[in-house]
Amino acid sequence: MTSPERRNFIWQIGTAAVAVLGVQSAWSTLRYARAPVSYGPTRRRPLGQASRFPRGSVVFVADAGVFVSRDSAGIRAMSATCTHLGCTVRAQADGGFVCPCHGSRYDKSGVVLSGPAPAPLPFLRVQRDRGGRLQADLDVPVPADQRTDVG
Amino acid sequence: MRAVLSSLVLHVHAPKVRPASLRLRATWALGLISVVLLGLLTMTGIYLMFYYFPHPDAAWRSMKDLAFVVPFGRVTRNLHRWTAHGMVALVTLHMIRVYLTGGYKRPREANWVAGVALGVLTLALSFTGYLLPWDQLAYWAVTVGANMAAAVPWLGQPLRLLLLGDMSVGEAALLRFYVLHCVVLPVAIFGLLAFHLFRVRKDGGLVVGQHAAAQIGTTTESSKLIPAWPHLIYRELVVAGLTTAAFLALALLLDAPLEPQADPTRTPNPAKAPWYFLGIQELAHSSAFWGGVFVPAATVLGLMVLPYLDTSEQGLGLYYPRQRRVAIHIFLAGVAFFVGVTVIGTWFRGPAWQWMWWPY
Repeated sequence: MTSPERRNFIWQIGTAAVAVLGVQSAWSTLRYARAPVSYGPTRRRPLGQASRFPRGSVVFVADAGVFVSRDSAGIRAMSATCTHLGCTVRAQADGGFVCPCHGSRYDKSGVVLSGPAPAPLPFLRVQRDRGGRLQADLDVPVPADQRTDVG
Repeated sequence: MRAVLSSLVLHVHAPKVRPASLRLRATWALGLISVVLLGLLTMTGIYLMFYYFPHPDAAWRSMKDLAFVVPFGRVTRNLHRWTAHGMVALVTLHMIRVYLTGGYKRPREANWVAGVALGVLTLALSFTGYLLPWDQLAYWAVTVGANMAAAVPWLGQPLRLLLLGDMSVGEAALLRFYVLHCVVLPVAIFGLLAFHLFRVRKDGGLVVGQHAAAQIGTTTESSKLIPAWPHLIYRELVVAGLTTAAFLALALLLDAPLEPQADPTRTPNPAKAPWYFLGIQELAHSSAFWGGVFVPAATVLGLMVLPYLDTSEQGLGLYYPRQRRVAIHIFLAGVAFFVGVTVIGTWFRGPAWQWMWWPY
């Protein structure tokens, strides 16, 4: 191997090593930044006792970011987070909901009536703990007709 | 240290410059004013860091302490806020000026790309700084912005999680934005600015009119060069002084806004981003992806590839040359579009983003 060839070879090895290190560093940085560490509130939010929600009522539980409604079949919780860009929707006198950020309108079942929202407001799983307290799981959507029986 | 500083000061400009570069209309000093504002932001930012706590329980209180307890705290925060707004405006105007005079063309392509990246970094600094007061405006502007990032196909949700460090804007997001705002982005912007200034000199200084360009390197032109000190530096010091005075006066007269403390359960109505993002918010009103992701990304990418597509070398250094009128009209139409949607978002959108005929 002549000298220029050897120099080229070493240069190429060096470049490849730097490239591999660069990719590895970038990957490690991304992994580091996405560590499953959260100091925020839990995604399973307490709603309180069932007695807080009389039949026929729709109650906004601010800490959970959900509208809880109750009928003869039971209780269900609908997310108050607009499916467009994440603002909190507001209840209207006609039973529907409107988003203050870009004006998306939903009916009382969370179905989009107008505006840029790409999807209906999701209903979320509601469970009871041992003490009978209700909690909504923000990460588990359920069908709109699913209720939690509270007796 | 002295050697480094004197080396920097002595090498930002060539020892001799063309008299045409000194005319105000050559640049309107827009790049220089942007750099002065960056300096003011850095200084006031360091002062603010002494009293700011990046935690939801304390951040908003820090703003109140700065306003009512800390000596000169109010004017320091005001100056930081207004210079931040000013820098976004000045960097944009600087970019428009460079485009109009053809300053993005060969041999300045790389510097134009660096300039576009500096513009993006300026907006990123504004966006990350916006969350820090932890008021309602901050919280919801960043919530909307982070959810726009989530509209990126395939990568959206991971990107949002990476940005916020959690499922929603909270203490993790505040800490991340603080680190980005005070360390990562300033280091990036100063590094890129050094390259930008280096390229200005390396590429032969300012782009000048064709007539003058044809003469570059000739004896006639060389004999007309004048020393940068004092002619250019003196003018720059005057502009820097006037800029500082103007923004200081603004900071003394006008308080930076501070809304009630962030409330994650209640979105204000209407929830509006800062003015320079209201155009994007207006576009996102139609579609989060097309308005919030596609149009901004396509604009930045389009600006970056521009010098490699538009390679004609005619009409350089002139504001409205006959040879470049089509290119200038297309560009100005784009500028008018963004100004238009910004004006609509700022003044013609009211509660629930409804159209208002009277300015809101």
